[in-house]
Amino acid sequence: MPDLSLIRDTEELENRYLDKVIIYVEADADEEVFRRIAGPALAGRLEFKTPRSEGSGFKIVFDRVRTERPSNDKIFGLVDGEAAVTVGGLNELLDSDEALFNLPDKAEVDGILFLEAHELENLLLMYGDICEHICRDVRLVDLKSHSVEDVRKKLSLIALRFFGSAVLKYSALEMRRSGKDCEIVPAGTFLSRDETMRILHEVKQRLVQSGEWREFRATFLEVTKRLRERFNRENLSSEAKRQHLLRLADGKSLLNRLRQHYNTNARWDGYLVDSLTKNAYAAKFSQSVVKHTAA
Amino acid sequence: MTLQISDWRLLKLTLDQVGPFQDAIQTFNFRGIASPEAPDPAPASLYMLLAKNGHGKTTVLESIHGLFGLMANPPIGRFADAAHKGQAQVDIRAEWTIDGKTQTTLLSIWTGSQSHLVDWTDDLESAQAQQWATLNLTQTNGVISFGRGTNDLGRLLFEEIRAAQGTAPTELFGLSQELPTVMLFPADRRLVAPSEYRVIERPKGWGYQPAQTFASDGPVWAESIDNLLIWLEWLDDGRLGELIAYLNAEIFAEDRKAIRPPRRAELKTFVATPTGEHGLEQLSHGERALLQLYARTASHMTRNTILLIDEVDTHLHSKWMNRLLLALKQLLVKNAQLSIIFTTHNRELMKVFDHQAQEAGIVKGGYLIEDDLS
Repeated sequence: MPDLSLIRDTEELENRYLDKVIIYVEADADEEVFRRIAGPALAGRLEFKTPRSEGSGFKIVFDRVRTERPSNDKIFGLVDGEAAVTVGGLNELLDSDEALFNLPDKAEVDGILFLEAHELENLLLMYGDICEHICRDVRLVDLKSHSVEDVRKKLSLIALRFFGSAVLKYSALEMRRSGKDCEIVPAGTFLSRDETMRILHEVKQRLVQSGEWREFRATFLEVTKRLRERFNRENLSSEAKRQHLLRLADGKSLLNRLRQHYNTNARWDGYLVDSLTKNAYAAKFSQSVVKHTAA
Repeated sequence: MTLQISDWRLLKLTLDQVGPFQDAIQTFNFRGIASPEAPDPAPASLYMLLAKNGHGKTTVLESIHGLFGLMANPPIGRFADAAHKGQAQVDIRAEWTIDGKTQTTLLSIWTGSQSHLVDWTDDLESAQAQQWATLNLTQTNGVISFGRGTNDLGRLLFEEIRAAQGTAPTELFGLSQELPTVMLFPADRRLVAPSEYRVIERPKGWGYQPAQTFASDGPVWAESIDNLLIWLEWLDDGRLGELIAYLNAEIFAEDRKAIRPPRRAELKTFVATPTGEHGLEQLSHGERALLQLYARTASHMTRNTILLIDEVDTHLHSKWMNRLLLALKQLLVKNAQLSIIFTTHNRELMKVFDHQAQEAGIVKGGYLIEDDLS
C-alpha cells in the first residue's frame, strides 16, 4: 500500500491505480496504431501510452519501463525491432517468428517487447495490402498505369536495397556495442542504385581509413549468412523470403521511396493501418501481446 | 477547566479487521508528500485516497467519521452500530489550551479494543507532541462508556464536546465555533425536493456536532438545503447573503444562473436562469452535488474541521470537477485548520491533483490502496 510520496509522478500513479497492463510505445502515432491492431477486445485490459518525457524513440521507453517496473510488474514497453540490436538482440530479431519477442537474459530490457520487424512501417508494408492500394490510388485515366504485380516487383527491388541499408545499420550497431565509434549511414540517402553504390564506396573508404573495415565486413557477412541459413533451414519459399526482407528492411525509408516513385503526395498510412487491422496479423499481434504481458 | 483547540491535524488512522482490512492491521499516515528536501513532511491538508471499488476507501472515511461519531449524543456512524466488528484508532495532533496553558497534544481515540492499537508512550516526540490524550470509547446498547486507557485529557475533550453539542453557529465558515468536527459527504449526495410540508424550523443538525453526515438531501424538510436557506433568511443576520454570494460565485458564476434569496411567502428558494426561474430540485445532479457540498461546508464547519468527501467527482463534468478542486484549495488557504480527504476514481483529477507539485498554503498527501484484500 504505497504512500503517494513513493510514486514519482502522475503517470506512474495512474498506471498503478488502473491495475492494467500498460505498454509504453515510442510515439503518439504508434500508440494509436497499436491500439487499433490490438482491437477493442484488449482495450479493457491494457493501454498503450507514450512516455511524457523529453525526447523520443526507444530510449525514453527503456527509461520509463526501467523506472516504473520495479514497483509495477504490469508495465511494459514496445519498441521497434531494430532497437533490439542496440542491446545485443540481433540474432533474436533475425530469428523472430512471433509478432513480438523479448530478451529475457538481458536485465536492462526487462519488460521490453520488440517488434518482429525493423519498425512499425514494415508492418504496413508486409500486411497493409500496399500494392493493391498503390494501384487504386490513381486518377481515372491512370487506372491501367500499373498492375499489382508490377508494384510487387518494384517493392521487392527497392526492399532489397533498404534491406541492405538496414544490415549496414545492424553491423554498425554491433560494432558500437563492442566499443567502436562506427558510423551509421542514414538509410534515407539510398535513393537509387547508383547513389547506393556511391555511398557504400564512401563508407568503405572511411572504414578502411579507420582500420575497421575488416571487422565491419565480417559482421555484415555474418548477419546475411545467418539469415541465409535460416532461409535454407526452413526451406522458405521465395514469397516467404521476400516477406523477411520486407520485415528487416528500413521500413520508413522504403515507404518514402515508394511514395517518391508512385505519388509524392500520397497519404497511404490510414488505409494501410486499416488493412493491417483486418489482416490475420492483428490476431497474431494480440496473441503475442497477451502471451508476453498476461493481459 | 476550559479547553481551547487550534491547529488540528489528522496524523494517522489504524484499522484492524474493519471492512475489507481483515488480514492485517492497516495504517494510513496522513502526512504530506515526502521528498529528499522534506523527508519528514507536515500533516497533509489535502489528501487524495485512491483504490479500486471494494478496497476500503469508504471504510477509511467512515472510520474517521465513526470514531468522532462515538462522541456525539446519541452516538452515530459505523462504530455506533452494535454489530460492528474490529478495532480502529485515529490520532490527531493539536494545540490544546487548558486554563491558559498551551501544549501540543496528541489525541488518540480508539474503539473495539481494550488497549490502543498504536502506543505513543515512548514516541510522542516523533509526533512532535508534549502530552497524550487518550480516549477509548465503548458502545453498549447505544450508551458510550470510557474503556481502559482513557485518561483525564481524553475525558476533558469528550465532556467539552458533549456539553457543546447543539450550540448554534453564529457565523459561516466555522468562525464562531472551534471544537473539532468531522463532516462526511458520502458518494450519494443528491438533492431531492422536500415532500413534507414547509415550515420555519431549525434544520436538523444545525448546532455543533462532533461528526456530521450529508448524504442525499431530502425529501425530509428538516434535512433539506431549502430548509437551511429559509432558516438563515429568518435569522436575518447577514449570513444568508454571504452564503448565497459564495454559492453563486463558486457554482453559477460562469453559467448565467444565480440563487435568489428564499421567498418568504412560499418558503422556497429559486434559481434565476436565462430562461426563467426554477426550484433547487430542478438543478442538474452536478449542480445539486456542488450545492450540497458548498452550502453544508460553509454552514456547518468549525475552525477545526476534517472534511471527508467520498468520490468527489460524482455527477461532475470535468470543468466543474476542476473548479471544485480549486474551490477546495481556496478553502484550505483561507482556513488553515481545515483538512480535506477525498476519494476519486477519476483519472483526470488524479493528474490535476498532481501530488508531487507543491502549492502555496496547501500540504498535499495521498495513498493508493492496492494490496489484494480478503
